[in-house]
Amino acid sequence: MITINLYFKQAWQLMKQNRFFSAVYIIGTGLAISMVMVLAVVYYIRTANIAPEIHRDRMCYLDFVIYKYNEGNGSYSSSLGIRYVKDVVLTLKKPEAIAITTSPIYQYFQGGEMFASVAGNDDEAKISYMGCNDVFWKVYEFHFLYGKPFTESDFESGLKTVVLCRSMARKLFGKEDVIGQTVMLNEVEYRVCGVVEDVSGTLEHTYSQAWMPYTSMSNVITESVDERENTVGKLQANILLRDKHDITAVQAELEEAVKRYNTTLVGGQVTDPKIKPATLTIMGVSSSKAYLAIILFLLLFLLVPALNISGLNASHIQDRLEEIGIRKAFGAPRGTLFMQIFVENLILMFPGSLAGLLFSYGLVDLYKNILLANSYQQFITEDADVITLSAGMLMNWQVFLYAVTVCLLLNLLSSMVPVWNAIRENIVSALNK
Amino acid sequence: MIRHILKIIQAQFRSNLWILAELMVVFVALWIMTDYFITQYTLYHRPVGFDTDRVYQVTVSKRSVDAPQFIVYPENSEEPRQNFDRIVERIRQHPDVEAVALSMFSLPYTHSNTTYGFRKDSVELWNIRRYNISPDYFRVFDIRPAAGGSPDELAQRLVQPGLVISANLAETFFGRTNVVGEELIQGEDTLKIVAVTESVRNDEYNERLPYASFSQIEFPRDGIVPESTCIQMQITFRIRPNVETAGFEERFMKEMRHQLQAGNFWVSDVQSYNNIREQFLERTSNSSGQQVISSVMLFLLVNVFLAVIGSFWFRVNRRKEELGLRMAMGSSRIGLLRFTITESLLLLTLAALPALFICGNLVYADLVSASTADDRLLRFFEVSLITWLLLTFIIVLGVWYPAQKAAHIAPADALRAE
Repeated sequence: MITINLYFKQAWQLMKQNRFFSAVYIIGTGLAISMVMVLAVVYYIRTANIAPEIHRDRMCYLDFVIYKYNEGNGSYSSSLGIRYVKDVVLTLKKPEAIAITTSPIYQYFQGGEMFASVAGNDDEAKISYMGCNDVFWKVYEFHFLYGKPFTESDFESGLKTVVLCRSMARKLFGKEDVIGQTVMLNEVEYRVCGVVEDVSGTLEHTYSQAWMPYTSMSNVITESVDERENTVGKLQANILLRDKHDITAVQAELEEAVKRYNTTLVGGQVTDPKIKPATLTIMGVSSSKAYLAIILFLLLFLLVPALNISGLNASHIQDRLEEIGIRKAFGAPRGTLFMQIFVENLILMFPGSLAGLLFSYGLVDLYKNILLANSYQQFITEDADVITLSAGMLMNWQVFLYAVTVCLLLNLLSSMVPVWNAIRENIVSALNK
Repeated sequence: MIRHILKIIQAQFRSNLWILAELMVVFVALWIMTDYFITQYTLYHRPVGFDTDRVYQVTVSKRSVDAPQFIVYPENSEEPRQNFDRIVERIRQHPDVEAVALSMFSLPYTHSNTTYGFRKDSVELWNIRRYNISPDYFRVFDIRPAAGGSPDELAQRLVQPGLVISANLAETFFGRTNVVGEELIQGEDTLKIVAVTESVRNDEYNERLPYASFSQIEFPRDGIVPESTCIQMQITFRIRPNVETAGFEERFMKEMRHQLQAGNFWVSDVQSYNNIREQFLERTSNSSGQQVISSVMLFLLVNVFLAVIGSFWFRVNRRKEELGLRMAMGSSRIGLLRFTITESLLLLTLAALPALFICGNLVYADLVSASTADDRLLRFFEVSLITWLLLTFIIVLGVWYPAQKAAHIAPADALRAE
């Protein structure tokens, strides 16, 4: 403890003596850390369990069906159809729960826009919506400010009931506690049963401004005579696994279920059903490519400043060779010397890191529409800022842990070689300086 | 002098190693990014072919099936189509409107399109975008014949049986653009070319679907079009040149709100096409990529700045004796300044040599966009020069302060340190 105290004192003195060096050092480290932390924060927000998507690590998704016609070699593929959901997806026993929602991508491509209005107010607000089942509210943890989610029986009966987000409730009614009020959605009367905290647009599987039972939307559930239309449709399944390694078992179960389902089809067959694990999408770039991009940028962001600071350290340490020589002459072991300089640099790094972390929050906020966009957001043409940041997304122990790791790593990278070179120097030649 | 400096650099090779390594890594990274920006710049400045000034898009919405006012039409009713036509006609009759066009998956600055292929002899092209449009589309977006002329000419040709293709498509198949009367094969049919338009692209950054062919939007003879098909048709219109564009959308909507309803259809939005264009360009991965890459470039440049200013500052401090000696021997202050700056630029050039070797290999291996440039060698030199100049600027900026300090040493002070 005493030595650490001593290190602190010494580092402080050095910082004061060498203002120019300290300033360059602090700016250099701060900049490096802010860039790496932007990556870390973005990675965290896109992958961590953030309410309402509190089980992202155990989720997998099924949002694509290929229906291959028996005649010719045409096929038709899109989201899941109503009968496919009923006869295949909901028969799966391995998953813990399966939330069914309307597919957001479908809405944007098919022009399924929705306008909301309230009696006595002529203005119509464009609103983003999501049809879902009652399990949705169990898989995801929404923060209900007022009221409750709709129930299983509401869902079964196709009751016209809706959960609104706080900002939309305020926009439509001028207040937030609007339980029991009616809102006109595309001229259809819906009763508000709950008001929840706004959801950030970066949470693509739950983001919406209104959630209603999809059974209440006749364009989704009307069973047509055409088996293709019942198989391929507008829904997707968000599957909560009991354990994240279950995905292969669920895939096998799904293939079995599809096999059974195919025996009931006449005009075609469902081919290649595929459950997708949660994929990392950053800036509209998905999975392995996104990881590659992150690793490349991480290398660049660490390597260049590390070289930079190594150079500074190497220059700085030459000025201190006398001191090192004297300490070595009095018998200080190499490890102690290394530790001392390492700790010194770490202390020097601290103010820069803190500023860098705060700066990275600013950068993420500034570029949030680019960095945190989900896979379909580039197709939406809306003016509204749907991607919002909460304090919990930025400040949490994982992000702080990343920051500390980055600091240690950068420090190790940048002091290792110069310090090692310096303490290997011959005592006599060091003393000679 | 250069040989002299090179010797100094060599003598201090150990402490120069760090900055050399950093300059090399940064040079490669900046080279790749400069190349990216040059590619983007060239793409952006190629003509798009669509004139979106004074053009507006109308969004027609359909009442929900569950709505109480919903009118159920029998399956074979002509009513939906007529309702839709009514809305189009009312827009056309507005005094400010010059031309109204209908189209299906065929608008610029969108993500929806249909493609198909053409064949001539053994040459086959598959990535041809098909524009399903009404004749006035050429007037609305001011698309002209490749040989010059007015959009009206194209509008007349569109209704004739045959093909209207874009200039670059004609160029690819025939090597020239005056190909009216020539034939192309589509599937089993042989089609005669009746007009050639200027080249058009979906947007400034689009490379994927460069070719275009235009066909008149087709409806069943009996006129029965279901409502769901009607609202897939997009309505665009151009306003007359003397009409004030500022606030036009609001004025138009206010004035026309009640007229623009028919059956289950109603107009939910009017948007200026420049606005649509801006939003599209803002959301493409290109524009976000540009912003991110520029931030990274800035980051790298600041790092180089810090590295240069830091290491030269130490260097000047340590070499006070040497500099003092130089002054005592008659070096002028300007001379010392020049000496320090030349030293830093020589370092850059030394680092650039291996970096350029790496970049050259990247081009050779088709890993950067320079490999798609018309003249690879020219592009390589262009990008290298810009990168070198960029780094030179930053290095001179960084070395200035230490160099000034070096130049203003009092020789007596410096020599005393000896």
